[in-house]
Amino acid sequence: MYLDFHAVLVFLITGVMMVSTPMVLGMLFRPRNSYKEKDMPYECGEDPIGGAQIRFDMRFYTTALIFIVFDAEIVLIFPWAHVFAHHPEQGLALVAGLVFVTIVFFGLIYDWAKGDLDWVKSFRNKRRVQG
Amino acid sequence: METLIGVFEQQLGLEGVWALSAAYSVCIGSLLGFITVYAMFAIWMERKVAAHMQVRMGPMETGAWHGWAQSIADAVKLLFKEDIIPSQSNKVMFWIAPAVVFCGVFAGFIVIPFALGLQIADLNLGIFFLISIASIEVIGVIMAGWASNSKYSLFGAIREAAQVVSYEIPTATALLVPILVVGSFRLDDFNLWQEANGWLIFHSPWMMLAGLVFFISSLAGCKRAPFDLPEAESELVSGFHTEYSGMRFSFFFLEEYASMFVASAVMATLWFGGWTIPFVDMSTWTDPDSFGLSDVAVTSIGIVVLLAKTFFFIFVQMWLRWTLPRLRVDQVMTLGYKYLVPWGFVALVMTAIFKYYGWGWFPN
Repeated sequence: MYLDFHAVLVFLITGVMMVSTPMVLGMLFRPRNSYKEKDMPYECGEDPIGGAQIRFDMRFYTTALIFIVFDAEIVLIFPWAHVFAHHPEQGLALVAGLVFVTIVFFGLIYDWAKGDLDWVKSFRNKRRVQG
Repeated sequence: METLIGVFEQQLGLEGVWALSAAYSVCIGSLLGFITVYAMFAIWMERKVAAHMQVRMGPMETGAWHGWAQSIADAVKLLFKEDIIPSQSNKVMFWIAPAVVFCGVFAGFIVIPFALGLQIADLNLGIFFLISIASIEVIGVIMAGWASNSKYSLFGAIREAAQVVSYEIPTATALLVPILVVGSFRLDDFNLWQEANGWLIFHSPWMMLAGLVFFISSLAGCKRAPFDLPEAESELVSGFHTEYSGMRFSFFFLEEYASMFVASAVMATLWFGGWTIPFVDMSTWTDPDSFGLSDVAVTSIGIVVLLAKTFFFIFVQMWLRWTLPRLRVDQVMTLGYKYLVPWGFVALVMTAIFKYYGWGWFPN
């Protein structure tokens, strides 16, 4: 068993080596004549204004947060699926799984109702408050 | 892997560490060779498929016969290209980003069973491992986009991160459905189950639904069209790898094709029987009474069958690229969270209920 995860480590290292070896080999015969304009960030021929490492849209953070919550929940369903597949006659296991999935699903509905799943946030809820 | 170590120990008289390293060398060498040849073939195939769908010929000159050597010529050209590193970039992150992107997909290959027992690491957590190792790619992409210090790269990278991350939820939900029926995380167990019972896709309508959800979300996970908006040429130049050139660029390309292969192979293994042929029991073929084939012959047939199924799904991915227009970013999020996640949950719940009552189109 431990040998198998051994293989994972070996292959991760090999993957890195496979990328670095052609890079090092390529150094022998690839040209290197850089000048200021060539090393500028590409912006369709325009001179870039300011850096690009800027603050980006809040919605990406929201997406990442939603992902973390759901992914953690789905990871918790995996052992249940494995056990239930071996004991399909256990009604309690089915009910427990269904309850858990329902809770996750209510989380999704909540996000949906709050408008966090809409990329372009609707102002429907705000309008309702204003009457 | 264990078989290979055994062969080295018995046939060549190698011991312990030497047998282990010899087995690793063979595995690594064959996998590297396979990925390189496959990627070159797939790029050539993509150009040919694209061309013929638009009533063009595609590459025809290089290598005389239908331009078969075009990809090899491209690879050699990329090797001789100048390696441009933008002066304002974060050098270290810029350097290691292609390696991070590539090694995740490369490690994903080790659990794919190409034939009975022919997989590099027989992990009993195979599917779980695949899901987790595939997400390493996102980190590399964010590193590439952020380190490039170019606006196009940053936009491409965060778009890709948001997309890949949100489509991981329907992917994982859809993968739970076959697990619920077979009761194992080992990929070879799915093949054996399907050899005994039949393809899982025909197990119940919910299994078909799960297969569809998985296929759509794996398209998004591989950034294939119609979900290729992280590298949308017409608006973002080429997304997170705008600043990359030469070999570094080619590794991002290689990674994309390698992840297409992994996604298609998982689709073929979990839903379409992997290396098994429907209504045929391949385990009897080695008997002298039936065909009397050698183990090597049966293994080769298994490889050919799996590759045929995998290439069919790769072809479908290329086909969709020239059929569907690219989605907008809000449509991608809507499709992921409002359609695929709920339908994935429906497939999961209904399969659990079917399992409890023992329903299905064939006995489980």
